[in-house]
Amino acid sequence: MRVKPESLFSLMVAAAAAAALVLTAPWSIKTALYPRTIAVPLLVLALTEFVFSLRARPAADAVHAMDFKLSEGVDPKVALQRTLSIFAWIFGFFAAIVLLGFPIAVPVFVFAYLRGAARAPWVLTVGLVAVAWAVFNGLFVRLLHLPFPPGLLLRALQ
Amino acid sequence: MLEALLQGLTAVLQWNAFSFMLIGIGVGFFVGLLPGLGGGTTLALMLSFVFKMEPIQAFAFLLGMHSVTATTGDITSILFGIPGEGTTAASILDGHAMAKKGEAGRALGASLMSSLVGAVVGAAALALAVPVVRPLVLTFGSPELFMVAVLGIASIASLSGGGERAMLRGFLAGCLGLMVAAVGPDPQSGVLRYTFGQLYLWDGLELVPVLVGFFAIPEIIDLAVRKTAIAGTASVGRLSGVLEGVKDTFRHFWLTLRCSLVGTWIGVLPGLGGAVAQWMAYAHAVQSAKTPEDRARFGTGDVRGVIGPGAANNSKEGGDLIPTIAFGVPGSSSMAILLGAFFLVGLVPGPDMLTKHLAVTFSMVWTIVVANVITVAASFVFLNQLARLTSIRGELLIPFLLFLTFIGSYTAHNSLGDIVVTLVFGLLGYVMVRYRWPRAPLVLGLVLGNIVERYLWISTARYGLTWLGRPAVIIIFLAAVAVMVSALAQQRRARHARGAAHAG
Repeated sequence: MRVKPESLFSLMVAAAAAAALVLTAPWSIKTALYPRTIAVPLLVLALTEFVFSLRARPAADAVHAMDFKLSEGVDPKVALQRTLSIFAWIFGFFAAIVLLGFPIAVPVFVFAYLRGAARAPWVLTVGLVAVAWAVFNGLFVRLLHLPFPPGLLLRALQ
Repeated sequence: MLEALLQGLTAVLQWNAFSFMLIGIGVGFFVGLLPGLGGGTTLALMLSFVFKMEPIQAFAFLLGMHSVTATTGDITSILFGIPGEGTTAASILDGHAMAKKGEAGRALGASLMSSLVGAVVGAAALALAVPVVRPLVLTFGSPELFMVAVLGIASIASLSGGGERAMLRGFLAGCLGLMVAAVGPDPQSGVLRYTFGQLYLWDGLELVPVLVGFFAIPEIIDLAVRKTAIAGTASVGRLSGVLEGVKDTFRHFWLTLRCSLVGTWIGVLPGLGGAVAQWMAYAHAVQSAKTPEDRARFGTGDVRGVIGPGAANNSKEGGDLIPTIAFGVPGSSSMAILLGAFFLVGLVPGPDMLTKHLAVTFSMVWTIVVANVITVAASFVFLNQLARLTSIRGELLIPFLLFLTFIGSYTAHNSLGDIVVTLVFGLLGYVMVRYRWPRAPLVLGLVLGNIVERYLWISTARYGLTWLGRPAVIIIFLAAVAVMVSALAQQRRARHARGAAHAG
């Protein structure tokens, strides 16, 4: 029997609930009562969902979540490729913030994405990077005085 | 009293107070649009400017600013699927779905008009509550507040969607939210739970980075996969769409009014806040659907899912002010900051605000109304331009959406930990959407978790088990049971209908 990804997800939730329950062991009853009261039904519900997901019809038929649905008009292989690509950009942006700090990472990321992924023309790219930099610098740095520490790379160089 | 009411209005309309209110509205307008940066934070930042102001000027400035953040916060939620405020996340479910169908104008029109109606209802409640506020608020102790939170959790049944396993997944997501709420210090003894030695988690999880990641990241991923504009190939409606949204508010006027009252009531109760009000109003809008087919429209772009949270978000402002003014008991963190403004301008909240300074109290009522009228009118001027943003190629918007997402979450603690939380919940949100787990119950569980635990312990410590017999507790408990039974009955009817259809 092939385990579906949605079954794995419910199994992971069950594992998290079990771990949460185990972690309450050294706590006093006052501290542990709430997490235990929630973790037990969470574990039971997650295992029930796991069993159902193995045996029942796919979730698409069995559940109509009150939420938006991911677009279905794109070829699954292309969709997977694009999903992985955007995840890489998202985590890349985070890595840039950690290494370079917000003030450098914001214009660098906007430029890289517009040229690399969106294939925007040069003039538009430069204009939009200037807008991003102006919003960041004018609003968040000068007006709101938010603290933006330099990135790890810059600190190492200093 | 009527005289004080008029005095309050004339005081707000005097040029100096009115000018300060306009400045406040301008600040609040943009703060609301920016994800993450909340009305509470901005109130704290602006507090230092009110030292030399007269009380009416100070409250015109601060309340003018604060009361419009929820109104404009809905604009970001609807257009981009990123919560402009922590209190406007519920508008995403149907508002952004409408934007994706090319109905951004209609969604914005409905949101703004319902916000205005909500603000007026909240302000009216504040004005009417002045003579009766004391018995009204004192009826509710910690046992009743605990039971209101239980009523909120019961609403999960309505937010789960339809289908055989929907209720199971709804409660599973709700429990997951309640579990996540346990991160941080135990409210009884202060023992740290699930912090894994991370200083960042010592205060528990901040709502803003969680909500921003949970809702924005899946939308951004979907936009990148589609490679189209937010509105896809649908043409973005012009002014007619906006007017249609305005009309929708009046077509569903009773729903707007009921959700406004839900918001006001939640605002009055200390410690529940706007994040709870929006979801309970959304759940109420869903419960109001008469048939399973009607209910199934929610989440796919039903205007009632925009109207309900929009009205509740703004009406809670007036409700929030009631205990703050009458007792000096702030109903939320924003009101706690506003309480500081009372002392800065030489006022003491309490009976004096209902007698000696009644005109100041009524000036607050008028500030909420006038500020919202001005904001909604100003928003309508730009609405078509704003709606057109949904027809821009998605790839050009993505770097800006990610920039706003990250910086919005960073403003919570000014820590990189905020962004990590956003990424973790963004991933969780994406997986939940992909495998059709409803996200709303998780948020409701997260918002209500701490409230449930805190009030349960206070009730038990103060009253033992006798609190279970209090009349208001029993009434609210029965309401919670009714909500659950009604949702289960609807599910059952839907299953029978499907069975009959298959048999036919």
